[in-house]
Amino acid sequence: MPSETARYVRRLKPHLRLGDALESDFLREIEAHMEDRVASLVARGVPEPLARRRAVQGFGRPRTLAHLMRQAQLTTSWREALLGAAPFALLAALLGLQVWQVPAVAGAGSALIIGFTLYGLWLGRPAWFYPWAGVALLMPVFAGYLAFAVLRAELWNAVHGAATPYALAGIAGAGLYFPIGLLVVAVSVLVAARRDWLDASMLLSPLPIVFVWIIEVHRGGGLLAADGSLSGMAPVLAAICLCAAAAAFVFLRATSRALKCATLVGGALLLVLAATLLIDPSGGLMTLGGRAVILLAFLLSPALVARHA
Amino acid sequence: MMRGNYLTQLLKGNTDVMILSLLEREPMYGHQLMEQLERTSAGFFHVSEGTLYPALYRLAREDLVRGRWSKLPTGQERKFYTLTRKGERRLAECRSMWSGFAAAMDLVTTHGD
Repeated sequence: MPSETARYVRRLKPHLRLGDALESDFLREIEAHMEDRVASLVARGVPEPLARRRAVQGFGRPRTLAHLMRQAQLTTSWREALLGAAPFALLAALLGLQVWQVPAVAGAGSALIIGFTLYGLWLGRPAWFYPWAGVALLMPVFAGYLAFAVLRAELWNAVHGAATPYALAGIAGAGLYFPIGLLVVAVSVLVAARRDWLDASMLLSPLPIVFVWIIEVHRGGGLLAADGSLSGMAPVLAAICLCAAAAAFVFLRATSRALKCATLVGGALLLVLAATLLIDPSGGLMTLGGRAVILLAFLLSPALVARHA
Repeated sequence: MMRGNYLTQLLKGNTDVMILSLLEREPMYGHQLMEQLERTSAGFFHVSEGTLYPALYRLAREDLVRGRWSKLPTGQERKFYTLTRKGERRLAECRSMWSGFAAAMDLVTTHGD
């Protein structure tokens, strides 16, 4: 590759963040284009060094081109946007129909979520992948809740002198789960944020809903003891999931970053309001504001990660 | 200055239609599209690479064109773009809108009274 082209590609690459497959395809196309452009200019009598410079100049500043290419990828079709909203709709169905505890249904739902997430990974992480991957994180989070339950029970046994080797193994396993689980979430966010922090925020967006869900499960006495309706809260959570599905749809269809941001922020505020008014109405305005700030900081944290990634 | 801006805006708004129109004739790769556009418009239109490729990738994302790497007789590989069915339909819509727009514009600019 001539040095001008190589230099341009080297300067462009860090800013592209289109995903491995698309990025290498585009860079290959640029190289081919520059080769053709130089040949065409030389054939018209332009000296080769000048032709090389002109070929590079046509692409403009690397940062600008990278920005335009990323903007071009913001467009998502109706079908893809619907696919991206589907995992939230699936959660809404599981909660609304109160079948989330039925092992066969939970198993089928999990298989569907894992299947779509892996398919999205295989396709090179299209826009609809992130909501699915975010909902897939529900599984390690619920496993974390189980680990917490095991840890609590076994610690109680250990404190009261009933520690068996199994209990100690349980404590060690459960204790080990949290850093590993956190690492899985952190790595997922980091990888997503490297391409676009908005994708990483979308990845995180199902987690607050899952958090509220787990609180309700915990209040109901745990995963096995809680009733399917979560004392009437399951339909509320289902409605929140439907709102999240609508927000994911708008987010994916939006062609401007500002609108995507607004959708994320609006969805988060709606979740805080719904969760506070319907699940815990005792908190005042300060509590509401505090929760909103925490949730927004959580959802928008990938922007900071991306800055340092 | 005013003339340049006006032309830039016109070109910007119609790059997609021009690309779709050229691809309707035959599959082409990026550089070929750029040269063909200049040649077909008798040198009037020049779309820079910085405009062409984002437009091509946007059209591909919207499933209006499809890119596929193929070998040239020289052995070099180039990414050829073809129009999809959806692209054909979009082009037909744009053409119909364009002729309505051009006719109306002509009426306004030449018979302003």
